Amino acid sequence: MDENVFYLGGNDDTEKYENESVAYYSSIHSNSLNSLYKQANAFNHSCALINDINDKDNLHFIISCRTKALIYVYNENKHLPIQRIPIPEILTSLILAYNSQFLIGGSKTGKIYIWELKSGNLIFNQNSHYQQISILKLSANNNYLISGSNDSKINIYKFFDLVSVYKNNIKQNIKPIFIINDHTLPVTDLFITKNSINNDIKLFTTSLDSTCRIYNLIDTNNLNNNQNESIKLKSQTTFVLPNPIHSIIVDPLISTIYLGLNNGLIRQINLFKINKFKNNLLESLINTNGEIINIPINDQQITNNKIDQESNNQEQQEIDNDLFKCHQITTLDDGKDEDANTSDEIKITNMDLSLDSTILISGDSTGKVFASDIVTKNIIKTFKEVKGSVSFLKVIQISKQSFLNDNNFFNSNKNNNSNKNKSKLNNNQFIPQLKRYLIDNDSRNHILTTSITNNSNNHTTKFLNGLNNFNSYLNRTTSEEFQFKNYYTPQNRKSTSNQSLPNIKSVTLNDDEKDAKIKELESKLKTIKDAYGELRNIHEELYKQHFKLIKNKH
Amino acid sequence: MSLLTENHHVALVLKQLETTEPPTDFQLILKLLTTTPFLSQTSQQDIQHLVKRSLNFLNDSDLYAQWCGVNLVRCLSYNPIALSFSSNVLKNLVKILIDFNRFYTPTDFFHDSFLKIVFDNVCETILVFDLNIKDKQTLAREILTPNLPHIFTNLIQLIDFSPELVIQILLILLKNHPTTFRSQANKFQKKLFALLIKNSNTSFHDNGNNNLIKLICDSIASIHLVDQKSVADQFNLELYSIISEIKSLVVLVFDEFLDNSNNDIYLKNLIDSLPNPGQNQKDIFPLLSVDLNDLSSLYQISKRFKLLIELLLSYLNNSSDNVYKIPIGLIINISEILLNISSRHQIPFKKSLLITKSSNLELGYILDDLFIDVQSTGLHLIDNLRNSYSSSLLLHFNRIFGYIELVIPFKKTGTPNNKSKKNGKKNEFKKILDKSTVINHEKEMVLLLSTIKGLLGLLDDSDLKYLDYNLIILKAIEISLILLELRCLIDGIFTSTQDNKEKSKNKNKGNKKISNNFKGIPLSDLASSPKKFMKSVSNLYRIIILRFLKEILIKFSKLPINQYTMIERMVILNCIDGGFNKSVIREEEEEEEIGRLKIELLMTFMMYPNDKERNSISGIVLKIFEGNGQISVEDKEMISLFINPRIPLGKQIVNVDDSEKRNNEEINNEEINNEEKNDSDEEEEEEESPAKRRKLNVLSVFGENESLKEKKSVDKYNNDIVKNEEVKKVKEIKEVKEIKEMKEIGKKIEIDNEIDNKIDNKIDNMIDNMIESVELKLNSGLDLESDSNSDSESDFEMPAIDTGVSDEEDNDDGDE
Repeated sequence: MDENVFYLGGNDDTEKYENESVAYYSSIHSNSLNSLYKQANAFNHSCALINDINDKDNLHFIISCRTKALIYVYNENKHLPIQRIPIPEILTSLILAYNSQFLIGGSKTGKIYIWELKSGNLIFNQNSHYQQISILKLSANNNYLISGSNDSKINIYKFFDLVSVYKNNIKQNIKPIFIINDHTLPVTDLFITKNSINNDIKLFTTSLDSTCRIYNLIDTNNLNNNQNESIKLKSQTTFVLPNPIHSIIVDPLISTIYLGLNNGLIRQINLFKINKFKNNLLESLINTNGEIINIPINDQQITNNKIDQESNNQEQQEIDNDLFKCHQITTLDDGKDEDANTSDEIKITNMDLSLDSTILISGDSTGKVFASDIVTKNIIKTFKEVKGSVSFLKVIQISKQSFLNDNNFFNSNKNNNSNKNKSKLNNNQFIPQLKRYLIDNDSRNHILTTSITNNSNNHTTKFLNGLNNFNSYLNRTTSEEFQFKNYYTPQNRKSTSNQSLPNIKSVTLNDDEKDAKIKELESKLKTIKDAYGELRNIHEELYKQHFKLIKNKH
Repeated sequence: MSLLTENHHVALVLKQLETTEPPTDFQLILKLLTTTPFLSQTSQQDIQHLVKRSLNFLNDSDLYAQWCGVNLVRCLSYNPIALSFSSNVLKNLVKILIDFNRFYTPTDFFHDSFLKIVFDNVCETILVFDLNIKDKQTLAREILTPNLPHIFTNLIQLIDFSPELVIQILLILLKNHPTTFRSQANKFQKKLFALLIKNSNTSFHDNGNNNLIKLICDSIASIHLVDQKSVADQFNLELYSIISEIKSLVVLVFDEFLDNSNNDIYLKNLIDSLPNPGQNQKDIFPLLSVDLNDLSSLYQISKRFKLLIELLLSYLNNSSDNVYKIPIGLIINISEILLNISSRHQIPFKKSLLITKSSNLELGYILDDLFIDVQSTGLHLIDNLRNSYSSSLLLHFNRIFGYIELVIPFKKTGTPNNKSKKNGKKNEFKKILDKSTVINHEKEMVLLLSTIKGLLGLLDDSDLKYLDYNLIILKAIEISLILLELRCLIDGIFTSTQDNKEKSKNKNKGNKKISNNFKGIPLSDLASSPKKFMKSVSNLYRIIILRFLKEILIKFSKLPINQYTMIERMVILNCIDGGFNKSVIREEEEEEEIGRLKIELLMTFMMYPNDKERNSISGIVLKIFEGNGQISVEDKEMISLFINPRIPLGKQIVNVDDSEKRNNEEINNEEINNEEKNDSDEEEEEEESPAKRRKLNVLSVFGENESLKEKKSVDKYNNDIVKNEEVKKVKEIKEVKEIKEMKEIGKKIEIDNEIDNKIDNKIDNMIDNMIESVELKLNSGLDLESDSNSDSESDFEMPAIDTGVSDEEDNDDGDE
């Protein structure tokens, strides 16, 4: 197994840099760089990977172009986009939903667009925010679409409401079911825990107002029967940091959160703490009572709290244990002449965790990407820099299933077939033109342009599997051989190679017919016998005469 | 060594194959031929030899020998070297096909099973050859391509010999070599349609021939692939022709049976949305000959619908790499129209028909039956779109859930005619489920449940909002519960043939009549033990129903409590009655699946409890689980996790030891602290934890016993000793006693040194106090003998304090 990180940059500058912006796909654990993609220049959070579970060596992804109202589609290890699709306006955030069947985009003007990728139909288009939508997220089970905006608000929609277009009643303006307006400055990042049970979903939000808030998305108290009004969510816990927060990642157990700040630091917050004063109880920092917790990051803030020097040092040490400084240190090394203030401008824009949550990959606004160990906080690997700030970063696990292949012919045959099909599929997997206008209610116009992939148990695949299963084949031959050995009486088959056989189908006769036949044959035999007897008599007589003649001569 | 042995093997095999006499250990040879070392280490010449010998078998006139040859060739074809020598092999295989074609009829196959065995083997081997050669360019050009046309023509002619196998093989070959197949495509298509029409008259939807029909439909849907240049166009042409044929059939039904003239324009528009047949288009199937006088001919309609829908689905689900335009909206329209074909709801029968209907009850029932059949094909259509078009179905979800209600059989209260006169044209029906229809149309109802389940599966949701469709969901739950119940066959017979209203009365009468008329022996059983004639739903359906219920429980946490408890009751009853059927015998897969589902359902009750539920079901689940050997340990562990929830598993385990130690230490420390506190502030004691109290109580018990003994001894001393000496002695005794006590306590309970010290200090203090009091008494000149008892009592009670608890009472006494 290997883990690769895919990341790309976003450049504020105009088109002239477009060709220089490159996306990389490289391994975390080794030095191999799998592939690079040119012209990949996107807004923060405006790149989406198309799900292709079978084929992770080739990335298939979509980005929205920064400078033009276009969507770029990359595929098949090609360095340049294979498709450029025009869209109504520039999208500042972009995600895919429902197994990459829907494309959801947020625009600069605060509109949300949803296209059905198979048909290219625009199925939803509505003003959602007053300012640019900075991030869109979808809960793991495609239930909720969450949009964060520069207007500091967060809207939570039921995805199904947006998508179920064909109804009998007239379409209304769809309101979000939940809204969050606790933040005072633009929302920068969102994180949704990947639970399948709705009641457990937690939402983490970060903002430039230096707070990170935690919400329980579905609280039974939250739901009321009046579905026409959006419900305001109340935060469970708020972390207040000294600096604006730009990104967040939470480990799968929801025990630790990592916050990327604007000064090149990543602050780790452990959500479960052992309380030494209370029987070492494990205490969760997430409460339902809306607690506000101050998270310091350096000693200045501690001295403000007026704690004596000794414990001050201790706490500073503890804080240092929870800080990743890689981005700060390396930039200081690079530019010694620059002011120390430059470190303030390094924003950690994107982060992700490795599969086992021991490695944190982080990208910053200067385009640097590091992998650092979570326990020691040391840098494990420095990745190639991208132009502009890192606008998307994702860790992808690849399992090379070499150990599953055995040398059996039957298996290897099968694999070859599937490989061939796969590459074929990718060639044809393209996205139709995305429409500019919302579809009407007439279902006649709902026409998909797609290849058909049916994953259900097809009888052909079943048949082929049976054919390739050598053991069942052997079993069958055994039973057939048994039949032959026990019940088979040797008989000639009819064949063209055997010329003597007449060209007739098998003849079956009744008993009477048989009798008649026998009689007929008997009579024939008799006549033949008689004829033979006659001939023989004649012959004998002639012989006698001949014999006499010879005698007479002598 | 290995080389030698392998050569030895080859020699062995070759020797066995010397004559065309079937070899004795044929299986071994087959196995050997396909093992890697054999294939890789045998020399080319030997392999060539092998191929030649197996060819001899193939050409032999004996069927057995031929069978051996076919299998030898098949196994050899996995060997790349053997494959390259096998140009003759394929030719010979084709020759066998030609022979079959020339000398035998399909009926011969039924007389001689050996012919069929050889034929099947030959067909499969040809396919194996094709699959093994397919991707290799030179081999394909040299060996495969020249033979392909012969293979196609002969196989197509031989379809009747072994339809399923041959069509399957032809389908695969068609997909692999579409261009070569092109010349044969028409013949193939004709043959397939002929077969389809021939078999459509037998009810193919039931399990038997279903597979063949599906295969034929899939093959028909794949034929367009031969036209490489215009695959998409051809596909669309064929797809639309099927849709238009469905339309004409729909129009026929509405024209002949249903009166839609007064009804909503919506349905009309729906029907109009379907395309009309093109001008040059030929009908796919021959015209139906339906005669109202021959009622059984009516069933042709539903059969035709089934056939067309099956064909449509084959086109829609035929996975292909080509890009097609699929009018998914139209197809959902079709399903809506099909579900609308029903007399139960808005659309009445034609008036002309109604006259005949009143005279001919049978016609009405047959039409009802027929329409439910047609509706179920509509459900079948939606249900099968789910695999390939789930996301598109999502867009139509609201609509589909709207019209799926049409399938639910409601009772008609009052005849539609009377109502229509009163309330204008609208027929009002009270929404009561028609139980008898549910039972009589078990298959359709189960299909309805599975369709609903599948649609809900698209959503991943458990929100209140979808209870907008609560009528459907609630009725579907009701249907599922009805189906799960035991039912009497007799009941079913009567309800199906009698009018609903009179049902209950007539049922009893009917029973009596029967028993009066035929006092036969068999019926006495019916009277005495009717339960033995009860029938329950089949296992296959039971699985679907249980799955449906599980889905409902997961998706609707706000299900009305009434329905929830009904499901709960049914599942618990099922679990207690039937057990879990985890049979050791693997054969009964269905039984096992049901057992599995029951466990899953119980788990689901715990995972997704109802909001309004007051009593948790966990107790019942535990009770069912515990002591049930059929439930696996894993499941029990899972349940245990519900009852003993634990968070971050790893972390807690690591900390257990440390924290325990710390806890103990802390408790000890706190004990000491408490004792310290006790001196100054005795009231705080009440706040101590019960555990500590218990510990301390134990201590105090020991302390009291000791103090009692001491009391007596001290009393004696007190009586004998003089005043001044007394004081000293008291001190001494005190000390001795302290030491004794401490030793004994120390033996029994480990107490820190600090505690000892504290106790010492305390005792010292107390002794000082005592001395003072004694001195005071001495000074005041009080009678020693009378007072000393009481004093000494109070004095000697004090040591009990050392344990820190009993002193409260003691001191209180003292104070009093």
